[in-house]
Amino acid sequence: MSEPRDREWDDELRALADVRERYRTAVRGDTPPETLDAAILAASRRAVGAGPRAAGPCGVARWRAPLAAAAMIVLSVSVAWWRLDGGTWSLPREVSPEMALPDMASAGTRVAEVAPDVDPGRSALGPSAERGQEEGAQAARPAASGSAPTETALLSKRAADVALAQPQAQVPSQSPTLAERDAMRAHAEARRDAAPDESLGASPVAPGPGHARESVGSAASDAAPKASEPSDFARAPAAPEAAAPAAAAPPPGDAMIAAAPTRENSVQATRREPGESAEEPRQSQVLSGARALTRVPGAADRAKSAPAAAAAAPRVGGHDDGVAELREILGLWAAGRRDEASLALGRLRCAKPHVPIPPDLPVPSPMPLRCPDGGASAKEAPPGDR
Amino acid sequence: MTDDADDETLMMRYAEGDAQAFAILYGRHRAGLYRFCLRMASDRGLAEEIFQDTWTNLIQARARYRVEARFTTFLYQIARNRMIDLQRKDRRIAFSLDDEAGEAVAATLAAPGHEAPDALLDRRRSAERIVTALDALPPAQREAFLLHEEGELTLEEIARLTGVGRETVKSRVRYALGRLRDALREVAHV
Repeated sequence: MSEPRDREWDDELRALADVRERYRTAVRGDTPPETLDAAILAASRRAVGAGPRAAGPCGVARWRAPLAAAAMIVLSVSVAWWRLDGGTWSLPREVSPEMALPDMASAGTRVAEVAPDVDPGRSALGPSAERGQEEGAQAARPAASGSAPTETALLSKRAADVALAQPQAQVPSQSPTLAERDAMRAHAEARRDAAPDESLGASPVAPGPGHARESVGSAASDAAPKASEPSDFARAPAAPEAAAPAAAAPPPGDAMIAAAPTRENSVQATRREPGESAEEPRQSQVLSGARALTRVPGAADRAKSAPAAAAAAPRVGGHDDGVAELREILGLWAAGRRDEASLALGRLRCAKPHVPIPPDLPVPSPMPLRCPDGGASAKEAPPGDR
Repeated sequence: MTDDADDETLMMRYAEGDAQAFAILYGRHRAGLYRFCLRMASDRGLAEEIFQDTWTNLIQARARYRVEARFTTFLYQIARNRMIDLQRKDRRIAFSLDDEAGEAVAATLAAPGHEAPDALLDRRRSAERIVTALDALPPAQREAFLLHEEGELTLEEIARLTGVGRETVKSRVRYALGRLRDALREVAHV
């Protein structure tokens, strides 16, 4: 404590030893709190990585939040990628095929109906649009050549009216791809059925994403010459075929979204057809869903449109789109064989759920609707299918 | 590891990761440093903050520790620097004893139950006098006294630490001891 050279100082301290001792005695009890001791000793152990750690997230708990965030990101990206890549979704019950397709179905109908008003020389359709026209026209041919029952004509017209009345409700604009997926599925089934015809090389041309909305007005106008004597009954069932090729195209997001028959499309279509009759604006609205999937063609496309349409026309007619069944059902109903008609409708619902059933079809579905396979298709009839 | 190792050796071992060496060091110097902080600070809370910060800084500076001086000098230097920092931060902080600290000291002087009431009163009075006398000391004298008594630093070490000459330190400590002695005499006369 004291240096050897300072004996004087040592003597002074010795003389004051009593004072120092009393001071030490007085402050002896002044010690740090135990909590402070514990905190400091714990900090010293932590610093050198020894001893128990302070309470806090450790081990798995420490990684829980980052892992959860990473998993959520991976899932989100995967789902988004899957959807963009054409993954199929099972439709929720709220968006059944019957609810999702009427607008598209009606589109094919209206293609054939509006067509006579338009100059064929103005055709500006690409292969995809032409296909839609031709399908509509093809759908019209059987009706024109054969005897179209008045019941089915009424049926088709009412279906179109209903589709016009509730375009937004039928296909939620928030999830247009659901309806399109269903249309794709239906189209795939139809293609399997009509495989020999498809071999003629009428694979649908994928509309460019940026072109999807631009060709809305053209599809109807250029379809005109193909439909010789359009019939309401023929047009309605042909609708899925008109919509399906476009929907089956590779999924550029914009085109898929444009497939949803929104009011915007409807208004656009209405403006584009100034020469339409009083009913035509509504028809254009119905057309909007299918039109949006076509693309604006160039001059070369226009030049090719007529032959392509001619080549595609027979294929559509060969497609099993439920027209015959509906006709048969109505025939049974008209003949008074109502039970058989009801059973036939049930069978049609099970076998071809993609076929739109007109809401005002007089034939009720068997309730509850039970399909032969007894599987998941044993479902209740949708609201439009009484 | 033995308890008789010197402070510098213990600190070096702690720097190498020996937590037990720190525990021994802490046991040796905790009371003295705490009292130094308590007497220099204006209140107990501030004293405890300085005390904890001092040890925390020591822990963080363990890798930079070199045996160039006694460990005690190093430790008290940290505490002193911390006080200066706090005072710069808040000029209202005065490192002097207050009533709370004096009461705390008096409470620690509570005698065992068998002590006579007169002796107990005398002890309490002595403690209060000492605390009052310390409080009355100029900060520089109080600091020199506390470093000498609590830190057991030599005059040279105190001089180096406080930046003044050795004789100045000696004067300060001498003056502080004299004031305490006078205070205790007054208690004896009462």
